[in-house]
Amino acid sequence: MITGVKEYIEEVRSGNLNVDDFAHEVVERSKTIQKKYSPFITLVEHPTSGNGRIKGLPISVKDSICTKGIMTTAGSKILDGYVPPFDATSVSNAKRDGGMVIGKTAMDEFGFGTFSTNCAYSIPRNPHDTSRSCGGSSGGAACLTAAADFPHIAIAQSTGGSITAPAAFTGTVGITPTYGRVSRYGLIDYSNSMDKIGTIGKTVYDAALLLSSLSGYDRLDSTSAEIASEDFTAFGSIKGLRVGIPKEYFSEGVDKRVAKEVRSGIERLESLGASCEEVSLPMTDYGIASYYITAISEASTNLARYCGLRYGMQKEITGDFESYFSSIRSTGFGQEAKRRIILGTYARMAGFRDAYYIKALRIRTKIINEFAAMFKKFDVLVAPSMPIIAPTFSEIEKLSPIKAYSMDILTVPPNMAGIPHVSVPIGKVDSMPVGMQIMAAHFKESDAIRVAAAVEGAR
Amino acid sequence: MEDYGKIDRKMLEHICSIAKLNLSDEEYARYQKELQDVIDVFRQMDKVDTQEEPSYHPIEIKDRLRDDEVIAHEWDPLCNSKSFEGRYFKSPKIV
Repeated sequence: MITGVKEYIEEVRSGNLNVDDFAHEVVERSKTIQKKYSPFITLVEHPTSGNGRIKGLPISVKDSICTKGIMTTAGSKILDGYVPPFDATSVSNAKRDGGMVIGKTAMDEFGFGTFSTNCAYSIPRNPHDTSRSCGGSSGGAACLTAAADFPHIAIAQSTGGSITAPAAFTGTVGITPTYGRVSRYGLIDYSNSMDKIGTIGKTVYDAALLLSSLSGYDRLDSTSAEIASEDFTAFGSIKGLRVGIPKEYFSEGVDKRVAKEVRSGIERLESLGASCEEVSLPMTDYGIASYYITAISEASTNLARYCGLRYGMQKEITGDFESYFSSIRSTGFGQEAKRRIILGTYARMAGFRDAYYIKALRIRTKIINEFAAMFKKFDVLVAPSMPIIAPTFSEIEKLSPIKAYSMDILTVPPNMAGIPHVSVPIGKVDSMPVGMQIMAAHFKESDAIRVAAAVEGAR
Repeated sequence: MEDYGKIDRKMLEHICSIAKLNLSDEEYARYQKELQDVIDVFRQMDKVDTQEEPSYHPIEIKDRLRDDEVIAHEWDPLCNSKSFEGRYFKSPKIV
């Protein structure tokens, strides 16, 4: 069977491939992958596709993104059984171009996690080593992308690193676009001001191709940018490109072996004609605190809507509204969701709001300004995607919540600033993939993508 | 500002009553310790001098007004509910 997306599109275009037979084979192979690695929450038994430039191409959708007629839970029991009567705009855009939705991928509940272990349904296992995590929260999307022995691209989503982390841990390519580039309509929000829908693919071309389909203004999302989509697969040369290397992203907490792989990747960029210079982003140290306060504050308000009456988990109605509402929430939410609701409620309480929530947003302004100043001098910034390789499940069990949160130190700043960034495989440590993170200015996805393509081509 | 940076059982119970969560004693004990550790790290922000305006969004968001026109609803809002009467959601007693 064909495994590459480019090759698949050529075969369909030339009429050499029967899309219906292909779809049947993809379903069978997906079942095999599910048994081995558990990337799906829901597998579509009879997927269908329309006509378009990616006709019949298998697309998976993270379970926090609404799909008409397919159960959508955001990885939470509180949404168990919810079948959206509409498609998210990102999904309808993929379908418009002929994409075939094959299933909904596993994730940390509402995106609350870095390792896809805070899951109410399946926990995806890393295809490179099944004792290790796929990363999170788009862990199922990356797992399937790495494991698929058929052409496939994933629609994923990031709030604070949920595309970059799993892409780095599974050796796949993850593109997180600028905030507002892809419509959030139909996304089950974690943190409205930071949520971005993006893509994960086996290659830079794959991830960029699907991003071209998903992007564009949508009147149904008030934060959607009025900027037309573009062809993100037109890569171009990186000769003369100015690359900044933020020294804080290579600090003590970063595994030296990971840093070494990324440094050797930077040498490759130089050999291709890019000019590289070390820079400093001092606000990086405050990213974790300001990110988590902002994210959980927004999350705790978003999760207030789940009352067990309109959709998802519902029980026999007894007692008064307060007791019914509390009962549903106490049984429907998992441990990490409760933890974040409590913290977010605390950070927004009268008397504390200025010290936590507003302070975090002021620090966010500093982070945004710091990046903006950098992009006056540099086209892209390059760093490790994650400070470690994919940890084992037993290592993750030993992490306290704050230790787990601290693993996001390299991914939260670009997510808070809403700048586009790409994770591309750069090498291996202990036979596990290492990712390089490439960040660019707002709406300059094409710069980050062409650097990723150059890195990929030079491997 | 009272109890700034301190999470005790009383505070946790107050938060849970606002957030509509029922916790067991075991959960109260565990969360109290875990959340205090998190809050201590959050307090690192105190070291930063912030004169800037808060950023509610990472990019400039413009208010966009649409025409005041009726748009047909393409789906039934009750389609995922088990609790409705006629065209209304049916909830437990509120008052």
